[in-house]
Amino acid sequence: MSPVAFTRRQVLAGASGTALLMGLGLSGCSNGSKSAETNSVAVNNAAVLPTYIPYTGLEPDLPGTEEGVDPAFRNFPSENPRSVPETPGRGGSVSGMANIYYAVPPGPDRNTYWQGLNERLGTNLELQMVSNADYQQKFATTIAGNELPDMLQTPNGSPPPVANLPQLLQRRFTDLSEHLSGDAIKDYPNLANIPTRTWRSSVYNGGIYGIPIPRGAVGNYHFIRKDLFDKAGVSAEPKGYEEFLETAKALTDPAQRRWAFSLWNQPRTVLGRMNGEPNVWREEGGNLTHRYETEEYAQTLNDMIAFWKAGVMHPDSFNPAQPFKQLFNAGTVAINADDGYPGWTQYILDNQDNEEFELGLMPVYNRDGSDLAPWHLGSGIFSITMIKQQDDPERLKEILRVLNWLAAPFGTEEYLYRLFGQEGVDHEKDADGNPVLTKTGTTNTVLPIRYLADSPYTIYQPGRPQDADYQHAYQSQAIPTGIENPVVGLFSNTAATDNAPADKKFIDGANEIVQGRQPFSQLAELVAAWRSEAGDKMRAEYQEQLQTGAGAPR
Amino acid sequence: MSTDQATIGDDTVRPEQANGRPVWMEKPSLLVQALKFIALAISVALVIIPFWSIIATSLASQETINAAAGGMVMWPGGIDLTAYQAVLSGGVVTRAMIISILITVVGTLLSLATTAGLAYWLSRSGSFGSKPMVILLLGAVLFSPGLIPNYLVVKELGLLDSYWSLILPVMINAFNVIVMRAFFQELPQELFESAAIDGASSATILVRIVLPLSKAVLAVIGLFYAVAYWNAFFNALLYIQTTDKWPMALVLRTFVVNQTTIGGDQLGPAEALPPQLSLQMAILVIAVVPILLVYPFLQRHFAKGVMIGAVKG
Repeated sequence: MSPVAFTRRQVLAGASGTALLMGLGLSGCSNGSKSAETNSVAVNNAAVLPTYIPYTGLEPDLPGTEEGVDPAFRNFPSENPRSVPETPGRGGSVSGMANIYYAVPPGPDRNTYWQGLNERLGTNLELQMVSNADYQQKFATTIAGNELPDMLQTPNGSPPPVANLPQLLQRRFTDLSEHLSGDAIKDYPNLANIPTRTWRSSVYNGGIYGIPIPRGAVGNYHFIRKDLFDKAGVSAEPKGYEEFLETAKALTDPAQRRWAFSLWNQPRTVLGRMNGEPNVWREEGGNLTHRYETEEYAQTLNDMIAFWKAGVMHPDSFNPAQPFKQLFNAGTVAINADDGYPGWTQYILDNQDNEEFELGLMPVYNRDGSDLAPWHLGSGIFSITMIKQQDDPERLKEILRVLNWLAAPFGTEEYLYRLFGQEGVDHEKDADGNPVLTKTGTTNTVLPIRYLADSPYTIYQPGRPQDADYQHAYQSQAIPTGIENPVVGLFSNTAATDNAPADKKFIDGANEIVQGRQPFSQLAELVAAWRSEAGDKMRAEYQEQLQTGAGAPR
Repeated sequence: MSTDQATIGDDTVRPEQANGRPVWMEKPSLLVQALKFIALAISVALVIIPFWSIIATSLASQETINAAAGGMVMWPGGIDLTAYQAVLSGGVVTRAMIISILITVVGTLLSLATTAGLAYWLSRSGSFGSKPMVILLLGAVLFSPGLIPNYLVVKELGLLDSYWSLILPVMINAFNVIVMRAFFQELPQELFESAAIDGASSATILVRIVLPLSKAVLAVIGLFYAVAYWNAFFNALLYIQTTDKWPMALVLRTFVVNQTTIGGDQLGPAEALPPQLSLQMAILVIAVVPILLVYPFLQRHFAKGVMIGAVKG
């Protein structure tokens, strides 16, 4: 008897009452097609994105670039200037809901970090925390029940996987343009420090409807176990397809339980870049082509068959529940090519007692190995934070001031407290002045406030200054070659709803081909099915916004 | 012993071994015994080994797990309680455990009382309105109202962020009512009649006669309810907003990060997660132990109880 089955079998909710309530619930979300037009015509072009005013209070050891290379600090700054001179709150309470990747921290009455945060914010922060795995469902019921907190994080994704998001924003949330457009954002300097590239994803219905949670332009890293590469005597920079395959073979030894890759999407990502696939969509004169429809994709699939036959992939590569991070830590696989760039911190931490472990990043060359392959840039956002419609404009400003505090840049006094809490209680400083969380800090500081507002990503690895240089160099090499996904910042309802199952079906089918269970000719049928189920509609929705110049200003 | 026929059934004429067993109960040969032992040992091992591995992994250090190629370990190689410390530190889990125990105990008692009452009403043929109610119940087994309607009902009743939202919406399980009703119907009706002649009311009959005769089914249904209350995280996820009020199942769930690819843009700067596998296994142990403690006391009734409804519905 599963818990879900238990909740479903309810007796007292009679059939008629249920039907009535269902009608009410749905009427809350489905607000005719009229307002859909307000998002898809040129109105969004009228939105003026916030002026980008980078924070200058601290000088990074290695500066970021306009293209999107993240600034890097070798050590935590010893001086921590304050970026918000005045207490943002005015007493009362501000509520928020966000996802959490950790075990929930103790409540405010037993959590000194939370108490200190409330004091600094000048408000009582009421947080609903939801495990990331359940966030989407909680989000849907919260919206349907109209029990909205002041600050609400959309589920992770670009565009956020929320059906009818533009209409929802219009009816229930606040258009922040008046406060954030252009120079108006100067009142909130920490929000002005969020790059312009990122703000595009928060424009809907011709207005700015949220605070983006910024993420680095680089998106992914191709992690490798440098020590295993050295042991196998192969270069960590394989140039071209042939050398890449040879490298993978050299890293593989099934007798010793060693393979090059743990999951199918790892060689796929590298091969896709090698073959010059588009970054999801390719735009030519306002027309879009999806990766799946390209020659390059077919080539990648062909290469995948060769890789699978060569045995360089873990036998369980097609199991999505494969614990790929653990396999990488354990040295069972040497390449982890499709993982988020913040994974660096995690791998270093997981392996701090493993002396052999040496983390590296692999550049990708094009198929013939003559030059670097174009990098696929990330969407630049984790989610956006929407603000509930407020009756009192002063209260809206208060909420924005709270978010401004939470977005304090790396190294500032607010940032130090936000991530590491109080010195002596939540963290201690090591010899180089890097804050190290204590046990109390580890438990208490994990409030998901960083999903309500956050500063732009900054490269920093406590106690390993050389990592800052290494990552910065890798980003500086990759990002200038980068190509954008042309639909970032646009909203497609099909992408938010029907695409997930259609995409899964396509990928399952493609994996069947890789494993030789289906002939290669099956690919055409898979593409046709994907197009009819989601692809063509998605394309039409995006193209309309591109061609009318709607969507966020470019 | 006058006729041949009479001696056929007589033990004295059976061929018999020296040890007093009849031939078909002959002591098996050593080989057969060994084979039986092996077969049983394998079956037992198939059940025990996963449990053992879970416990061993929960006690293993990250190095041991790494050495086992990132998988489950069979031998922890030393006791490392880090995972348990990580789960139990901060007082969140202990508090949640108290909440869970209270919800489970209160909820199970309420569920049993209401289920038994409803089932008794429906089991007595000719009681007012029982036929339509049975049909309604069957409807509730077949059709579920769905997530959002449920949420709206709870919200309109003002139960959001209240412990009652974890009990009231799931207090009566239609399937359990039907099982219990079937059990009550099997009780000899003569008992009820004689009690009625002695002047017992319906309530007295239920409390003094029906329930004492129904310990098996009460134990089983009670266990069903208790396990469901104990494990339920989803309704708490939807209805409980204050994390301090979360039951244990939901708190433990936040320890288990979805193992599928954490995509490019997910974790923020300076975020890192504790070693996962041993933590997850420790959570499994903590979540399962209370039910394992209760189960032996109910096991006696269990085999009997689950047969109810199998032959008569």
